[in-house]
Amino acid sequence: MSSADPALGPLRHALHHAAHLLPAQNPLERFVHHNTLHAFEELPFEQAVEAAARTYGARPWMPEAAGRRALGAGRIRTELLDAVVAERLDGGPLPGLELDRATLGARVVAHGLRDAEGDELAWILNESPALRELPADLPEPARAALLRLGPPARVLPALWAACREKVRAEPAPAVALPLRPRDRLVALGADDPDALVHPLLIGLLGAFLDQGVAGWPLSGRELGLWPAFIALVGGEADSPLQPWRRRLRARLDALGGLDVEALALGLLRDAGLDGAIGPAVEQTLLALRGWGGMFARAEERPDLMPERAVPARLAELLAVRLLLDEAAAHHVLDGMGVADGTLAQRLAALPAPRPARAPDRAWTLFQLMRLAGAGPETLPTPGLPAALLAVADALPAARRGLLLQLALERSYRDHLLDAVAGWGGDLDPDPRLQLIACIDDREESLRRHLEEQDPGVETFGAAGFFGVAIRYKGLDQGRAAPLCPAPVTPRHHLAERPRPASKAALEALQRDRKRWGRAREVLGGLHTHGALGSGVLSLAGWVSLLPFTSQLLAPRLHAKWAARREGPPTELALHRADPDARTADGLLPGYTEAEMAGVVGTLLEDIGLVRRFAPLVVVLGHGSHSANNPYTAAYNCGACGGGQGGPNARAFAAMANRPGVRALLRDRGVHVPDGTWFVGAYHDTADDRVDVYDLVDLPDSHKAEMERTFALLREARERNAHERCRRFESADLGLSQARALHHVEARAEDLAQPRPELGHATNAVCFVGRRRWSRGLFLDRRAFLQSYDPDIDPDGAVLGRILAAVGPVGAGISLEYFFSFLDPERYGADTKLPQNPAGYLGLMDGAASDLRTGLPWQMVEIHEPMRLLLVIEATAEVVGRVVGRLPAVARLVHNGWVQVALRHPETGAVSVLEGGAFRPWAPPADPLPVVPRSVDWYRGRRDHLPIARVRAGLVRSAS
Amino acid sequence: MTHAAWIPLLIGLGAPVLAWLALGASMLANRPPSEAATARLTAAAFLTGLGGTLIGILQMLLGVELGALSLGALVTLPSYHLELGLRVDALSLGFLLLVHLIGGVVGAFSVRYLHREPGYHRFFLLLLTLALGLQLIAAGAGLDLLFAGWELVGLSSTLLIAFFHRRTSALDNGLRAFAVYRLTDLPLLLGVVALHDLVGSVSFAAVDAGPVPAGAMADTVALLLLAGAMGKAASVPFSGWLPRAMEGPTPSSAIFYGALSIHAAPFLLLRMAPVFEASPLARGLLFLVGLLTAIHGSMVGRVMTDTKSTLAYASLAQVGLIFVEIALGWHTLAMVHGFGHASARAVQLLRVPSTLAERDELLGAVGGQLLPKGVFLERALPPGLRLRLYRFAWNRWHLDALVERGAVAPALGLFRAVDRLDRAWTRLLSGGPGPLEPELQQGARAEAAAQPPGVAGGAL
Repeated sequence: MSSADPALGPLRHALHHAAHLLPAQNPLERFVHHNTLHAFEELPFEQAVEAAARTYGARPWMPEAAGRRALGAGRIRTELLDAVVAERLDGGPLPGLELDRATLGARVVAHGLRDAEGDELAWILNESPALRELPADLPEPARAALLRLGPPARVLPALWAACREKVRAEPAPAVALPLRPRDRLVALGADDPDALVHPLLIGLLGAFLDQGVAGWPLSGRELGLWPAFIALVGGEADSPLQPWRRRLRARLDALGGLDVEALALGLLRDAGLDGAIGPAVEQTLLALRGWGGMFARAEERPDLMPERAVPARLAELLAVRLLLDEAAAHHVLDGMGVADGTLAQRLAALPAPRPARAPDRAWTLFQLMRLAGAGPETLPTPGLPAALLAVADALPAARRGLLLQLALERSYRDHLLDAVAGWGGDLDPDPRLQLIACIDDREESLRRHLEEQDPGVETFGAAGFFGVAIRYKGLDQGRAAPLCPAPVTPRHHLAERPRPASKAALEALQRDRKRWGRAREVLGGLHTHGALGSGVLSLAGWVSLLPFTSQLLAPRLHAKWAARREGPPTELALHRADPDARTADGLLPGYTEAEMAGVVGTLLEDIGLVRRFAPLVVVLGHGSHSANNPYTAAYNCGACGGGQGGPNARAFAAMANRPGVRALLRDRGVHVPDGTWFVGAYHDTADDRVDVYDLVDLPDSHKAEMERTFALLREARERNAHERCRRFESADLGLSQARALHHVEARAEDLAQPRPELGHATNAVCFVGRRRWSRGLFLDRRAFLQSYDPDIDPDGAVLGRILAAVGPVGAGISLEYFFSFLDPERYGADTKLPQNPAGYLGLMDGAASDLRTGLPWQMVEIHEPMRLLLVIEATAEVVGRVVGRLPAVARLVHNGWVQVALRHPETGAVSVLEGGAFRPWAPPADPLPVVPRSVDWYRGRRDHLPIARVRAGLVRSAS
Repeated sequence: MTHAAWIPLLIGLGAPVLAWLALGASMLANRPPSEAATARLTAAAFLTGLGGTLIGILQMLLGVELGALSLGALVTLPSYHLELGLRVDALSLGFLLLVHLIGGVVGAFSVRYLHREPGYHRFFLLLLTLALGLQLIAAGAGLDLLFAGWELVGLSSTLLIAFFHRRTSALDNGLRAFAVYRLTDLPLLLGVVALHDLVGSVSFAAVDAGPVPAGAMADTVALLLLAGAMGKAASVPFSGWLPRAMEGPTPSSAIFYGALSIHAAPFLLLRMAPVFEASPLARGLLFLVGLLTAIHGSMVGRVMTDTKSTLAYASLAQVGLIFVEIALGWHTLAMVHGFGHASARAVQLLRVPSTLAERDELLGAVGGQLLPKGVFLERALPPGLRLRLYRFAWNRWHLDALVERGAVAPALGLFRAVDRLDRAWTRLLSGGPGPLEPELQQGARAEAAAQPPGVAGGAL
């Protein structure tokens, strides 16, 4: 083996491919929603999901039980399920039966088939009422037909006997031999070699990647994983206690001096895997994919590591893993008494795994006959058993899940398009307050509650960094962090600083804080890592019960007390007078006025706010906070890369208020009147707090209007909290508005609360267009709302900018929720309750598990899995042109990762993308229910709600 | 001393028993109460327990001696009778206070933390089981009742480690803890018998009454008790199960391995102090085990990179130190140390999900740069030795492997031998294949393997 080994090319290719398949989840503090199956976006959606399910061993579609619950609750409309089945299943008659294949298929999907054989079947037949009674959920026509034939206790046994006679046992399908040696052994029922490998490998990767948990870090890791492995495991003297590691030692001696790639190749060859390098590498690295993904992340994006970059090379991880796998497999084989040899030789000596047992066909046939409502007399009809079983074969469990899934998606889509088609009110010609919020689905309700109070309030939606892509350093922050969408690298650095008058006070405060911080750091370190120090501290350990118990029992009051001191006023170091100035690491400190005008002008044009300015424009960033919750970043603003978007809103408002910027904007054609003032604000989506920035700069002329705005905001956040509370089981449905606000405030501060808020759960749709056709719709916090005015964008340039940002971000959020719900164990992070933070990077279950990726069950449990439906206010020509220019968006649209519908800018007609073409949407026959206010629609109801029209706050009733 | 003086404490101790019975009965009848009802029941149990204990403490401070109370004999034999009796002193009351205080805090935490969890009621039943066990340990009149409580604590601990029973790793690690408990509870049980032989009774009154005669028998009893304590305290060499036990919901990890279960061991030693007074050998060994455990815990804890393992080692190191204090006869210090440590560590474990937020907050306070790590003793060592020590710590002193090879493997070997014998016997009697053929077992295993591979924690 030399470095010119011809197999090196395939190995490198395989590594590259495997890196792509590993989860791309960031360290937790930089959590950003992304499509769990990003690696499969090149494929059409259904094909991709099924391929991914094979690769990751996951469930492809929604569990049948969840689908059936949705069907029972009316979330899936029966006629749409029938339609979906009819589309996907070849129709045609069934010999001897009145019902056709599609009808039977729909019943199969709606009611399911239970695969059973052997003892399970015997139990069903002997112990359950299967042969005595008809199932309670049998479709009514089938029940009636069967009852006509006689009492079930007579008919069913006869039917079962007839089915038994018709169907002969079929040979069990052959089982493909697994590739990985570990899988071969486990299939034979041997001890699991991974049980030896994983604790060691997790310990090694934990020590290698650690970002500051250990009091004694692994020295020498700056050389790479392989040297660290040699030092920790390979170089140790033989331990008589760990016999399996002895083989490692011998193997390392034999292979010594090779570089890792050659070594990996050698190991693959000896395991007999050189014929399938690609799949072997893939499966080897995916066996611990959470850790593997974090390792790959450390290699690709060292800048994301919270404390220090480590030289991670995936080839080294592969070599280590293959070496451990080999030693552990040998150890297991030793225990089985298999003659020594290379791994490939020893595996070849093993018997073939026993074939899996196939479900009993007669039992399947029996269930089909029952669903068809046909008795034993019908069964002898020539060709009937085969025709029935063909329907079952076309609808295996995964397929049934897919069809339920599609029917759920379509039920919501149709309902939504019905609501949107033809709806559209007028806007106040002279608005008194305008508010620009993030497009986030959680701001939908806040905007609605503001608008409901006053027709003169107008709201807009834009990606919540408001075009201000910065690296930000707040005064209470230890380090600067980016506040912009994840793929963007910020060019500007923005710092918060004390206002000149408060400089001294603030510095004193910070000195104080630093002293206490150091004290806490030292004492905390002692308590965790120092035996004697902790012993001394423990003597007064009971003291720590006091603040803990007070926060546990009275979270809201505790937080109010802890935040009783308000810091002195600050400002942003916004303006860069010298255009050539740079920070130490080459970023631009602040903005020049020309740059500011660019930021402000672009955003205002994007959202269509270029005329009719109100005296006060509030720019509202958002974020979230919670206690004792490792997933905080996942609740923050996605457009700010998992950060809190307050500073972006603050900077935007400050920019837009500068006379120099206004002058430059005028040159650009955006006339902001002198009487208009921008105010930056921050909305906390957990406790529904709204903070307003830089009030000291507010001109006297606007003070009165600001007071009125405060009143509007106060009322809106109370109503918002009230609406949110309907989804919290622990909040009483009869709460008053004020109590509801208390409830969400306490929730955010509650140490024991695994659901401080519900995040993006239930997100389903994204509107791109004017607010006039979504205002007054109760969208149940399920809609991303991006403002866009097609009238000022004839060539689609603005739409391109918007879709390039909103498409992938919205789809990423929606698909992450989708897959975490679909398979919480393989795609999601399962329950939060036993989680254990590892290395400041991610979370394990207990003390030594794979790192969990995706979202925990507590975040997704009320989600309805459906692909994002993009409703764009534009013509098909413009959209076609725009999407064609954006490969990332085109991939999502053409491969069906998002659904697309259009609303014509002039006529308001809706069309929907189906099979590559836009199909006009027929206007609805029955209009939506109309209610005076949102609360009249949601009061007293916990579940997903249909869309309704809300009258309050509309200028005049809709067309 | 009147029986009336016992009433407040009896009510306090009875409340968790009643709550346990009520919850257990409704679950057994497949009629679980609502979440809110279970929450109220648990809160009432711990609050009543706390109230009763506080009154008991007040009585003690006012000079009302409670002493012993017999509730009747359960078993009477010529040479032994098992009596259901209570006996409290300052030590018991202190421990009871800790039990009800931490139990109440953890219970209040869990009510919201486990909201909508399918195993909600099971969790609280096990929490109450722990409380029952600890009450027996703290207030039982003799070592036999203490042993019964000890077993309840071990059982609830095992079942909570395996709380998420769909996960292989949770079951593996629950089994591992259970194995260590079995291994070390056996000496404790023998200790009960040997104590009877030594002082003629297993009641604490008898132990406290007069000087325990020194000699081989006292050494035996003390060593057996020490072995029992080492399992619960996860002392060297049994430390390996403790970090692995962090598989259950966070509050269960906090109450068991940060606070109450682990501190039952020093309680046992303090309770049986007169026996240890009589055995310099056992005290010497206790000192050694404690010291080694403290060194082991702080050394291994320093190289751990996940929060719960770090805290598990910090916890067992402190209990090691408490062992040392007891060996040196500093009993009051040991009590204060134990009480404080249990409180502080429980709080720290309950706050584990805040690990990242706390670091972030600290970074903000100190201006972006934390103090460097790894500058303690490590820096003073020559590099070669430093690596070897690091490796030793990273391998957790190979203690897991030691216990596995030294105790678990022989035990398993024994069980397998018995199993073979049993099978052969069955075959002989029935003239056919035994009921559990290896083929069938293999089938079950292959089915388990078809599940997504969990990260199993090493085969036992």
